Amino acid sequence: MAKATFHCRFAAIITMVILAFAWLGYRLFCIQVIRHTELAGKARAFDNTTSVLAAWRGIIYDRNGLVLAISYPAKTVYLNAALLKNDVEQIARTCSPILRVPQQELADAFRAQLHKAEIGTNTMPPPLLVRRNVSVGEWSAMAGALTLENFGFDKPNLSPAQRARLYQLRHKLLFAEDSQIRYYPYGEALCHLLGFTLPQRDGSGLVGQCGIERSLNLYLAGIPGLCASERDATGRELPDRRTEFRAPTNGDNVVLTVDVRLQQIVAQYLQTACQQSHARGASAIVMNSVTGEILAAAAVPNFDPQNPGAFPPETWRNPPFMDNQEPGSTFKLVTLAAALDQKGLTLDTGVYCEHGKYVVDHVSISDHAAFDLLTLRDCFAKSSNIGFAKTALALGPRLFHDYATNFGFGRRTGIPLVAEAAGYIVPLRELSTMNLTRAAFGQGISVTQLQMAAAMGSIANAGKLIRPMLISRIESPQGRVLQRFQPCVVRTVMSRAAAQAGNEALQAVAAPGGTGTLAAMADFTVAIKTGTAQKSDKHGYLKGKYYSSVAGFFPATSPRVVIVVALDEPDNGYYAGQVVAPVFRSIAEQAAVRLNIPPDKTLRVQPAPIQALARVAQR
Amino acid sequence: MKSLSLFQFGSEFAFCRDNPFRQGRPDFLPFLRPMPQPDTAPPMTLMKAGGAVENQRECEGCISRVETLALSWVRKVFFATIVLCVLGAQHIADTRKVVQQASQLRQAELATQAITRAYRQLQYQAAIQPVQQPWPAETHLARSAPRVPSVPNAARPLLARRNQPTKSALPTLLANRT
Repeated sequence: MAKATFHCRFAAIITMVILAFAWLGYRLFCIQVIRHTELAGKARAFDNTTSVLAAWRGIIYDRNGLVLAISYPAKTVYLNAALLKNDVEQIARTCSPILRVPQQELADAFRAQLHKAEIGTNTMPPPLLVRRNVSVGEWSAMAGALTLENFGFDKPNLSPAQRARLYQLRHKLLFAEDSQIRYYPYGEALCHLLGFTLPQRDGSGLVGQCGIERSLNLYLAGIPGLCASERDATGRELPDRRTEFRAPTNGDNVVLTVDVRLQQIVAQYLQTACQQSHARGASAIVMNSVTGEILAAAAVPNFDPQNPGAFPPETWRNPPFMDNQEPGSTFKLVTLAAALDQKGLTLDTGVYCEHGKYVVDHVSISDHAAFDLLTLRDCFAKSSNIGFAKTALALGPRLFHDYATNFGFGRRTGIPLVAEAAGYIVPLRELSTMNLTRAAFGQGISVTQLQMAAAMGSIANAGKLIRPMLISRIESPQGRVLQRFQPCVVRTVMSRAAAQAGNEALQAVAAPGGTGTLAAMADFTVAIKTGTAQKSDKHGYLKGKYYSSVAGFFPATSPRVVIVVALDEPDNGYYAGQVVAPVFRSIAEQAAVRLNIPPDKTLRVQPAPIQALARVAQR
Repeated sequence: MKSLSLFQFGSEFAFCRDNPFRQGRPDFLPFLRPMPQPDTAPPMTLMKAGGAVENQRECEGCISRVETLALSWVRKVFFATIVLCVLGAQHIADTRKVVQQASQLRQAELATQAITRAYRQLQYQAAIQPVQQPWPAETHLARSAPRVPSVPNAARPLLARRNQPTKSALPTLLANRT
């Protein structure tokens, strides 16, 4: 009997074991084969994590190695919205002083995040970004303060569930991710030139929005890395399960040709000039006439690149490079150059200026004074529109157009700024007599300050047009030079003799009797041209609104620096010779000191008193 | 058969072979019983008749074929388990080693990140230092004017004048306009 029972039990156990294994085998088959795709997907979604490793943005230096833009480490603080549940008010009250965000604002953000989760397909609310650009020290303080909070659990004996909840709130409510902040040590002085950056949405670093930051984003941003891996139940990455790892490549450093010191001085002068003349804006370019290096390019109104959102977007524009403006009389330079180079005219050639009124194509041209017979030099120095209208008629449209385009007007200079404007030159087929006579003194066309600086530089360089340079070199993060930019002669736009004659004419403008006497410097000979252009809109020229500019270089005998300064809608006097020329002189004097340019004016040495006495004694 | 001792279930459990109640009972699985060996021994004397009974008793206490089969499987499973355990232990050790190395790698990465962060912070501090220093005044600028030997003697008074407070300061604009 006992033996039968034993065998029964034995058989039963064996059967059970076999059934159990069969069931296990069945489940295994179901999981591994039938539901493989579904479950593998779920597992991947939970375990696998792919994170973008942000590359460190490169540094921007000035020509002397001073840092103009740099990134420094920071944290972006997120709140784990999955822990909010029904304690929105309590958590907002607790976190408000820690995060330094108003309680109500925080509570509203929490509710919005929870609402997002409710209406979305994902039941887990995504993390809520609560603060950007938090310094590492500040984040440590935040995290430390949070661990001391009791979140309303002030009872002496907490249940295990409450204790677990309190632990989660203290240690997992806030978390931070590494980020970087772009810092511009010279702030508003370089804002237009450098631009600003914003963080990318995928967390792969910063992206430039305008200026150099945008134009050279490809170099500065670097290449973000990638880490595809698995994570454990607590969410930590498992480095041994990495399926893909690509280290980020940090961005290259960029060295500009700008002298930040001079830039600051120029910005300061423009600010003051703008205030004193009640102008809408002011801008200036200082360029090395020999190499084409841009030493300063400033404008007002400006903005804070750390907080560009607080300023209207119009202020983000870079006027010296992006604004097309009617140049006015400064464009007479082109007409003069063409006349001297092609028509065999000299500066002493006489031009009858019709006593201040001249009608061409039923439209009258007037001068600011009633001139009769003037030499071409005087026409230029006194800025006679009629004189230059007649000169342009003598040149003809083709020649005038050729010179205008050879000087680089109507096309980009090639400076590496994506938003550089090209200006506008009336096409040859549309260059009627009326258009030609007006274009001769800078009406009906538009140019940028950079183009004007380059054109002025060609006179200074004996007729050779130099391409403006803003970037000196690009270096790897380790300091290896990747790309070096060299001065480049674009073309010869006029003969040396014509350029020399043009230089003389420009000097006459700053000499007594010229329109730019206030730009004359004590120690240097100056070659300039003033221009006061009436502004226009689609309905025609606007009364009382002027764009006053001065373009020139110094020392005139051995040119080193080209300066173009402009005031937009000056209200307290509008003639460029009155309001802009003094600014030109101030900037030029500071540039001379900054660049160690030796004076070129020879002074009349007054006889010393002792010599005079000796002469008296001889008599 | 030494391994059999590993399967001692305790004093209360009598194993099949030692079960006294096993004798004389009807066989549960007669067809699995081992066939009695044909008696090829020479006829025994009466004196040895007790010995035959004893032999028969031993044969009845022999383990059945199923038990043999089960035991052989248990033995195999046991050895397989031992081997798998050894392999498993080895695997665990390897995995631990890999995890440890990965953990060290992670620690090194974190340390590098921290050092890089500190370096960036220092770089930033160094970058802003020149800005925090006050700019030299205009007069200082003028004083640092060209120390160029190529300046002709005629320009000496000019250089002397340059050391005076420069006229190019900001009020220039106002002065000129008035």
